[in-house]
Parts: sequence; C-alpha cells; structure tokens
Amino acid sequence: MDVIQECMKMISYGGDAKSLALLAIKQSRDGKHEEAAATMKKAEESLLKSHQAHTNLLSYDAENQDLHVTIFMVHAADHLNAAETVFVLAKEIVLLHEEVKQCLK
Amino acid sequence: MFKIALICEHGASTGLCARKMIEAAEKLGIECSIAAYSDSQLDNIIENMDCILLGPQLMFKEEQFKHEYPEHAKKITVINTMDYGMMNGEKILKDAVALIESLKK
Repeated sequence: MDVIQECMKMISYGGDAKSLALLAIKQSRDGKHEEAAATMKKAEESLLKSHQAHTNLLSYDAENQDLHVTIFMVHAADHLNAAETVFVLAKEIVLLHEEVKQCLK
Repeated sequence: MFKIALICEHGASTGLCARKMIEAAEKLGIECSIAAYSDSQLDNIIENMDCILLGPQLMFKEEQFKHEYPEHAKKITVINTMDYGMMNGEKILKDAVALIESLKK
C-alpha cells in the first residue's frame, strides 16, 4: 500500500470537506438554504472519502502491524480531524442561520 | 521559464506535490521553478510568480486571497482535489502551464 498516497487523500478530501462546510455556512448566512444543504451534502461525501483513506491505513496496520508513524501521517490525521470538527459545527450553524432567518421574517 | 508556487497551510503536503511536479517537468522537459510555501508567505512571493496553486484544503481561502490581491487574482487557482489526492504531478503541472499560457494571451 502506498502510505503517502493514502495520507494525501486524507488531506485533500479532508480539506475539500472543510472548505465546502465553510462555504455552506456562508450560503446559509446569505439566505440560500437549499444551496447550503446541497453544499453540506457534498462536504459529507468528501469527508467520507477522507475517512476511507484513514480506514485503509488503520486496517492495513491491523493486518500487517508494520506501519511506521511519520510526521506526515500525523499532519494528515490533523487535517481529517479539523475537517470533521468544522463539518459537525457547520451543520449546527447552517440550521441556526435558517432558524434566525425564519424568525426575522 | 514558468514560476509556479504551491500554497498550503504549512507547506507540508504541497511540498510533496511540488516534488512530483518537478519530476514531471524534468520528464516532459518543461523549464520551470516549482516550490511550496505556507500561506503566510504569500505576500512576499506573489509578485514574482506566474501562477499560484492552492492546495484543495485552502479552497475556502481562495476568495479571500483574490480579494486581497486583486491585481493577481487571475493567477490564483485551486488544485483539483482528485489530482492532488493521487499526486498526479504531470496533470497539475499541465493545468498550471495551460493557465499561465492563457494569461499571456
């Protein structure tokens, strides 16, 4: 297995998910709720792909137990972690924006 | 001579990507200088670059950068998530060169 490749997948899809989640917040702030929902859906898909790469690494190590941890792997895990945090919070913030807009009507 | 800068948060994953691109450039015989920088260095380098490639994890900052450097907005672009994840140096390089060529016209 190409460890660096899996790490790169974690970083790029994780970053993608984070960017999309932040975009969804902006869209919902502008009152574009349907667009925001679609963007969050895309963010979720990217997050899943990032997770999949992480899972690949974990299951490889469970099987072979010879994976050496490098700073680059830690960096990749950091990206995934950040993406997940932002995604979960973005979900809440999008809902919050929706409710606020409803109240202001 | 094409001057290409890759930007990400710490220059870690783009550093790897830059290496792949340099390999591709040597293979294809394209004369260029490619290096990875952190986003905090952008201010110092943007003036001298033909093209600024952002890692997909920085997609959410694209608008901000374009806003901060309106005169350089056209040369800022985000690397395709799939190409970045697969570290397809050749494709990323070709896209960057195509962008630079289109700007020269």
